[in-house]
Amino acid sequence: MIRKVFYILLTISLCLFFSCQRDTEGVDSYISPIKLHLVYKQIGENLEYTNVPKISLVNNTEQITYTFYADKKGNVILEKLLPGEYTINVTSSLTAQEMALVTENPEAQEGTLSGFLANVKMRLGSQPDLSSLLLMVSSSNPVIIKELYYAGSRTPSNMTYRNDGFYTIHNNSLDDVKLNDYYIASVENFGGKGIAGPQWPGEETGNYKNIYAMTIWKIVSSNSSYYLKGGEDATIAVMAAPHNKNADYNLNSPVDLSNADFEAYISNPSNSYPDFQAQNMKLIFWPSFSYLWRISVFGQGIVLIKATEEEMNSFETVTLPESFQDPFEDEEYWLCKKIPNKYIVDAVDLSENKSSTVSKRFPPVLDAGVASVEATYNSKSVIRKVQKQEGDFIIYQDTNNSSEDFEINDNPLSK
Amino acid sequence: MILFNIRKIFIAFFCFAFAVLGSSHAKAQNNNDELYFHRLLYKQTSFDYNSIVASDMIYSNNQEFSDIAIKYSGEYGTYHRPQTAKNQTGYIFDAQGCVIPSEKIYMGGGFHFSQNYKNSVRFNSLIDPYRGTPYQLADSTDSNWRIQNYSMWTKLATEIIDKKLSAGVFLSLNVARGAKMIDPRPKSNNNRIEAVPSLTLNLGKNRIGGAFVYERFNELTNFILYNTSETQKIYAFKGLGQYTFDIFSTTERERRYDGHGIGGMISYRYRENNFEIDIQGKYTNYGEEVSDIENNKPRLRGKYFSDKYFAIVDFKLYGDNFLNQIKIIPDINKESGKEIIQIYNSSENVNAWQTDSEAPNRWKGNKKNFKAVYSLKSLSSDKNYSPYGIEVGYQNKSFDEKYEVMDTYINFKNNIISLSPEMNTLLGNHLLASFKLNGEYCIVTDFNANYKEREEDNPTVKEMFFDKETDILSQNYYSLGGAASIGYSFDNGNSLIMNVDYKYLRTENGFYRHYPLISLSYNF
Repeated sequence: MIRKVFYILLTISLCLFFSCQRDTEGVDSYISPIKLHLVYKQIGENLEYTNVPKISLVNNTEQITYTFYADKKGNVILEKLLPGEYTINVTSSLTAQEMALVTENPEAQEGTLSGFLANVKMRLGSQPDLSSLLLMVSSSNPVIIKELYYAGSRTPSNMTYRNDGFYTIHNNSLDDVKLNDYYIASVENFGGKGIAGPQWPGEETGNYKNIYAMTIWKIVSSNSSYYLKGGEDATIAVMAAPHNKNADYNLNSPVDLSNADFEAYISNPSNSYPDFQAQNMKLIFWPSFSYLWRISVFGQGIVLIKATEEEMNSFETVTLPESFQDPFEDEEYWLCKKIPNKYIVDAVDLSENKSSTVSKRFPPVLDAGVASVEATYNSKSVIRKVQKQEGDFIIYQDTNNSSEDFEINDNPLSK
Repeated sequence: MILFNIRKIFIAFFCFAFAVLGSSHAKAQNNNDELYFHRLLYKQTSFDYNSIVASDMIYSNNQEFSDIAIKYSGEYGTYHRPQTAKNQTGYIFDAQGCVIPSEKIYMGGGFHFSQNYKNSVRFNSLIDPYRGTPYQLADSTDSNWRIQNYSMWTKLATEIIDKKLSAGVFLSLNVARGAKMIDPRPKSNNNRIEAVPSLTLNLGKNRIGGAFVYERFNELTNFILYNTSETQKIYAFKGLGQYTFDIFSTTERERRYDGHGIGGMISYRYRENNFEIDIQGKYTNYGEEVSDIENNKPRLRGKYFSDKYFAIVDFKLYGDNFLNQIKIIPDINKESGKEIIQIYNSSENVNAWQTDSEAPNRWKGNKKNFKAVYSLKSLSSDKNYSPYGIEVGYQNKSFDEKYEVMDTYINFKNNIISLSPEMNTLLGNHLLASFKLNGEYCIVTDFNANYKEREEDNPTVKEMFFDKETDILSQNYYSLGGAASIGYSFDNGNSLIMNVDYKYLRTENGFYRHYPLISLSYNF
């Protein structure tokens, strides 16, 4: 009897021993080093880079950013990287001579070389495929978005306030630009912060061939010509009110928008605010509109579109695939305007923090990074960095990479 | 639903416990006033009293007893780790006892309830943040916890082969729930079940026992945001203050912990007339998964692993009027945390989180403890009670945690010496008194720590968590305390005891802590 009990106990012991839970041993904590050779036409092949490329890898899983610099031949080894999902950015500035060489245009100006890859999965024990990391010369448009104030402010009683949002556009050239064919739009952010964009039919998440706009405003609503002079700004206000001058609004707001050039005014019985002095923009598209055009305080993509009225009317209205829809919203909420990238003259991807690139809505040719005020209701904006100043004329940095081009401004509208 | 059923079980067990406790009786003694000290000596010196190898109880010198106590306990002061309360109070009810209907049956059990108020707690969303797992959601808001704990245990044994073989089982159930009162106000519920079936072979002077150990644990934590216009920054800790963060703006966020463990125990006793030696070893392997609900779908975040080794050697030598006892207790806990990287697949036919890769051994812990205690007790002529005693102890603790990929670690050693004299006396007229003094001194050696920050522009976790942790753990300290009990012994040998216990701890840098405890117990 005792011997039988002993053998039964021994069998049970062995079964239990082999079902023990163990962590995996003997595995390196970092992914294998990756050798990269960055080449754009002759540069990196036969010619050396004048300004070495900078490679920025954002590990979205770990919220860590790694920065490497290639050598003059474009070679770099990426090492000591933790596993996770990555967004990779490459930027390099090209001299006028280099631009002339690669564009075969002897009068070419300085330019920017950039490359971008999203959703790169780096795993232990395997090498990721970075062969699709292609460099391209970014085009620069004279009209750019210079400053965005979207995250709101706090009232004296510590309540939240976000009626004081604004966007400033800037003419980054010496020549006057006619604004009559320009539109400003907010891009869809379905799925919420930190979540990759939906898979629109025919698209690759994070590398879209079109933008999907939720709202579109024609900046100049009248038919009279409106020119933005070289080097000048135009401010577009959510509400062109004296926010920090009048207790009816928010005395703690950082801005007084009563001198704004344009306003997103909605003429609707539900809008109890007055129509301020600023020129009203024309609402083109906003199926589920409310009385105030306010984007998410966590950030949302903003674009400038250049298109004729006929072209704008021809853009297709699409609806978000049903599997991504929330049943508690009306059908109009899911409608978007599908606009091919070639009509986008400038794009800024805004996110809740700069390492959260997984929810990017723009391909790298439009915007390879994200800008962020890194908080909500903090009375701060993001503003482009100054690239150079010649007398009174300021040229703002525009490498089509918001991570590099923008910085936080503690005093919105002051510059 | 589960809590409702557990409440029914508690009520049923409570009634059973009262029935058992009420029916237990004291053995006839020549001097009933000494019965309280007799039971006290048994609890202090009996190896089997604290053992969970239930089948050993059949071949052991046991005593029937029952205790019911209500207690107030407190802790106040600046010496506390960052995830524990600055001040806390607890109101406790305890009941335990055993009956021995015959030589072949042993039945024991206990019940515990406590209501705790823990004030000024940060970086914590768990009932017990130091229970092992490094994967915790934390906020930096200083606020107060209310925690309720319910637990019960039972130890049952019976002989199955006359004077040769016995079988037994130890079962325990612990349930706790707690909530914080300020946004993002975590609310946590946990329960732990342990089952230890055992067999013991009686070979005369030798006794060999073996047991299997099974443990099941789960905890559910909900962060609830009442004021959704005021977003909160939540840190998802991964060990030693390394984290990723999230801006919490929705109304609710849920995290779940599911763990189970298996193991085994062996126990051995050799006994002669005037000495006995007990040796017991225990091994448990434990694993726990942690997952969040994100985008309305479960997202696996990590796994915690633990291998625990525990042993105890208890040697007792009886002289004519003295009892010498030596205990040696080594234990080792090897831990690790594996991070799971899941990516959200937003395609129409998946629309869920999928595992992309794993990062094993990302966090590691290795804790060792060695304790040796010598106690000398004087014995009455019938060896049933100890008027005087003294205990001297030495403890060596080694603590080592690391998060290597971020060059973050804490390691150190503690050397602790302790001294504790006690006295038990009959004051006449059925009055009893006990007095005890405790002194302890701890020296910290080989202290090393380093932290690599995740966010260069936000030192919150480094300054308020990691630096505070190293401040406390690196301190040498001393503690002094004492306990005084006074009681009344009834004619039937039952006793009513009032106990006051106090300890004061102070570190070399001026951190301090008070530990008062007051209890009223009825023993029979």
